[in-house]
Amino acid sequence: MKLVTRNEEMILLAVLRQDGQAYGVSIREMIQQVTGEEWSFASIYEPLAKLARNGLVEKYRGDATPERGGRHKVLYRITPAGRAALAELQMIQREMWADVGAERLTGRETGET
Amino acid sequence: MAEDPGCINVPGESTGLSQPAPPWPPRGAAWLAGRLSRFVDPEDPLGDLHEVYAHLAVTSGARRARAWYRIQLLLLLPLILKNLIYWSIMMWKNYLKITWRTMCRRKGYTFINIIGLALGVACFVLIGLYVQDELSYDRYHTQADRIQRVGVRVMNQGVLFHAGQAAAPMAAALRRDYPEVESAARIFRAGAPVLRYKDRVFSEERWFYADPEILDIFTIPFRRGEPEEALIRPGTLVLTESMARKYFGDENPLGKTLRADNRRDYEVTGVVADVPANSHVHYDFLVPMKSIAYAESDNWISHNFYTYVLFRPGVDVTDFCGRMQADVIRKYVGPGLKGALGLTTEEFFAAGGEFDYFFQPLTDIHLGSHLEKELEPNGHEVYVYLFSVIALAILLIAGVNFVNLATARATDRAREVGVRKTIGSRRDQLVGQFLCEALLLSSLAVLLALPLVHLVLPGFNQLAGKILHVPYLDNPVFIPFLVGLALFVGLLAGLYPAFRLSAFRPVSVLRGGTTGEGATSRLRGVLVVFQFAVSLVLIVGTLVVYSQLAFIQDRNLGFEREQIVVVRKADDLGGSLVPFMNEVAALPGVAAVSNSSDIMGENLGDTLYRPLDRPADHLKLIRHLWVDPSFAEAYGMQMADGRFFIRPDQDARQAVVITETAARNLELDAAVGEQLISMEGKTYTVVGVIRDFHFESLHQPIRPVLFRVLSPDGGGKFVSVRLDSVGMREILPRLENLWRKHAGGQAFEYEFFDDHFARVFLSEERTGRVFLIFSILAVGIASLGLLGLAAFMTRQRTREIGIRRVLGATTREIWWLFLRLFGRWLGLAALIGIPLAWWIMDRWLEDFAYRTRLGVGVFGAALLLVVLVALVTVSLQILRAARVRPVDTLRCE
Repeated sequence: MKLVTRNEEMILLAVLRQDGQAYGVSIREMIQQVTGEEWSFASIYEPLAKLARNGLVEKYRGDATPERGGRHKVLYRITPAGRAALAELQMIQREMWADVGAERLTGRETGET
Repeated sequence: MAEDPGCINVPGESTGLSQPAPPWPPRGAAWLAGRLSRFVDPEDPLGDLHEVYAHLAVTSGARRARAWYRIQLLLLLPLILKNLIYWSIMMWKNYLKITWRTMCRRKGYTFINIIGLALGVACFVLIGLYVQDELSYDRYHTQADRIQRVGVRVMNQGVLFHAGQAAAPMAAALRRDYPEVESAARIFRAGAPVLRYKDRVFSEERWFYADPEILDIFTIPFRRGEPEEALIRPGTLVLTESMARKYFGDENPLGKTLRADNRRDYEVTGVVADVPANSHVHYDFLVPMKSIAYAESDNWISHNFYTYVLFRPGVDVTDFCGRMQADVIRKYVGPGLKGALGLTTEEFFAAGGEFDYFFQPLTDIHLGSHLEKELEPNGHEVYVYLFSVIALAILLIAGVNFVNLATARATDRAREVGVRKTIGSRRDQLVGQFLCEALLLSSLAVLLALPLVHLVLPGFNQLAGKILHVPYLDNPVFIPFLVGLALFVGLLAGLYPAFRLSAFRPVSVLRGGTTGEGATSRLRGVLVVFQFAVSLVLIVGTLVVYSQLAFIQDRNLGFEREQIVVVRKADDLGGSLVPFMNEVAALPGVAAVSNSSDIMGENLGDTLYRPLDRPADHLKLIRHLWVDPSFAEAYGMQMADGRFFIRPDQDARQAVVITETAARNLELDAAVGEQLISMEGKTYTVVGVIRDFHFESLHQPIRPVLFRVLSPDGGGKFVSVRLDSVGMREILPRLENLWRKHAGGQAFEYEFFDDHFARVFLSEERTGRVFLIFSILAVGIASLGLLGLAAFMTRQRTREIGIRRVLGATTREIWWLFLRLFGRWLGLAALIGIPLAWWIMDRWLEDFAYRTRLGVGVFGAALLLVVLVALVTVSLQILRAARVRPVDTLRCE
């Protein structure tokens, strides 16, 4: 399977961690908490739509709330394919990070700080 | 927006919370978000935006929240746009895919449709180019709208002279006497010299004398030399670029000398651009008018000069013409009449004489002027209209076929529409589907039409005597026009079926019920009738034009046309002419040799004559030519009375032979022995009356002609060699040898007389050929349409045919059943087409003084042809359908 991008990975993780209660606003909030960056909705919807197209997440209809102007939430939950993709990603990352210790990151090898 | 129940859910209603309702987001942005939301995934981002907005509004204030909302929406736009484009492409891809499948499934149908339309479009483009070219004549002159040609219409003693020419002093008088005239200039054509530069010798036909003012009037760009100095000094000339290349190659032509007819030298003082094809006059050489003494004549009675006037802006030409005419007749023409006819102006008019000047706008000359002695054979407005109508008709026929076939297929595809609708196709998607199909077909047809045009254009150019080309880039309208045409035809052809088909109600079509067949079938009938009517008109047109041509060709012209070789410029032989002719006559296979000043098909000169015993006002305009005694024999002309000229003394110089018409005109019952006196006061004796002969096109009635006799040492420009037992091509080398022997370096110029004379009928012949092509096309397209239609009608009724056969109907009965339907349409088409064709062609024939009869045969033949084509086309389809074993057609249910 093709690897997901970094943005997609973060969104996928957010969906996974929110246990089926993820939707646009909550995903955006979680990313903001972790990274401190404020993402636009556009930059969330697009990867989200792609994840949905590729079958890594699936949409279902949630409740309407007054602060949503009476609109239904579109909730997302992760699919088995999504979990598999994350698992693969995690493995790859572990491999890639295997020899990377603190001393390498602080730049003793390349001479950079 | 706030009123839209779809967007609001009153908070209290859904949740019952007492929390205050959140402030609404900015109206415009929310509305936009609502409109666009269906192009975003998740389908409704509004909820998310709204939620954060409500939160922000509480925490950071409404103003910041609003700004945030707007920014978020703006950031969403690229995504929205992307999706919008993506889905439209997907939809069109789908339309195209379905279109492709439909086309492949019905290859025959698709082929007929595309070919038919392509032929129609090619035809339309071709005729369009032709018509546009005809309409563009002389518009390249920058002052074209202010240029007019002076012409004159003179009626004297019942003989009419009507030409776009004026008298020699007219141009100068206009320049001198009238402030309204900015400039005026003359063009004069006399003779075609043989030019020589070193070893390059050519005979030049397009040799014109012109006043220098012509350069101020016409747009004549100079490539070399100064316009201010051109056309002033006798013994100089101006030539076109291609002529400069022909004689001088890469040398600078300025200052070089061209020798004309081994007599006179001309120095080149200017090189001008070639004359565009769409000009009513084409010169290769312009020679100062001062070179000919006759140009300085003050004769106001004889009209030989093409005179062009450049008016100042805003002059009312009609009004000017009236004033000028009164003026000129009083001052100049009156004294001229007195001198020539011995009549005062009042007596001239009292005797029924007429003398009127007129002006022709330069740009109207090519299509509108059909007078005597035109510079070139002009086009005809009628043909331009006629061809435009034909072009539209052919395009319409092709379009009609398209509509026709598409509607015929309605029932075929009704089921498809039903299924699509049931699955959830929206109507606009179905319309899109059908329009897409039509547009794709029409675009393909237009694309296919272009190679077709290229294929046909060389032949068409030859037929029509044009040099047209496909103006991809020179004409900024051409490509947009083609695109527009593809769209227009596609929409025209696609709209009706698109809306008809998409309007089917799924329930009724799927159940196998009505599809509104009655209405479409009536429309189909109308369309078939229309195209057969048009085809009929075209076929009748072709047949009539050709029968008129045959009539001209077969008509006894009064002289022989075959087996005559004409040697031109024989007068250059001088004293060697008679020895040359004697030696030619001695060649084996030569029946007769004759020297003459002119031959039939040339413009003949004319003078006024009257019987000696009649008063001076009895002068008649009679064309004349000088011939030797062998002329009648060479051309096989018959005497009506008296004799032709005789050898050896070549008769007395005052002997003349006149035609029957001339005798009638002069009111001589027994002309032989009568004396004539010419305008110059010389007397002649009529020794014979010769049978009338046609020396110009059959548009005019035969005009009177008088023969005078050449002196025994000849001097006429033409030597006609009549052959009996030898081919024209075989005699040529021998003629040329003799010519070289006597003429030295002078070029040998010859012509076959029948080719020469055919030029007189060139314009009719071209019309005939163009008609022929178009009617073949129209009939072809119409029968293609009929073929497709018949195929569909029989297909639709396949089961009916099967059942009829099971019940015992014979193939012939089934054939007859269908044929009756088509027969009714054809009958109706004949009812409309034949009277229309009769009317149009009768008008066309009215133009000829000698015309063929518009017989029943022509219409019968046309009708027979159409019926035959239709019969074969339709029968093939019906018989094929009727031959299928009923088992195969009925098995499916």
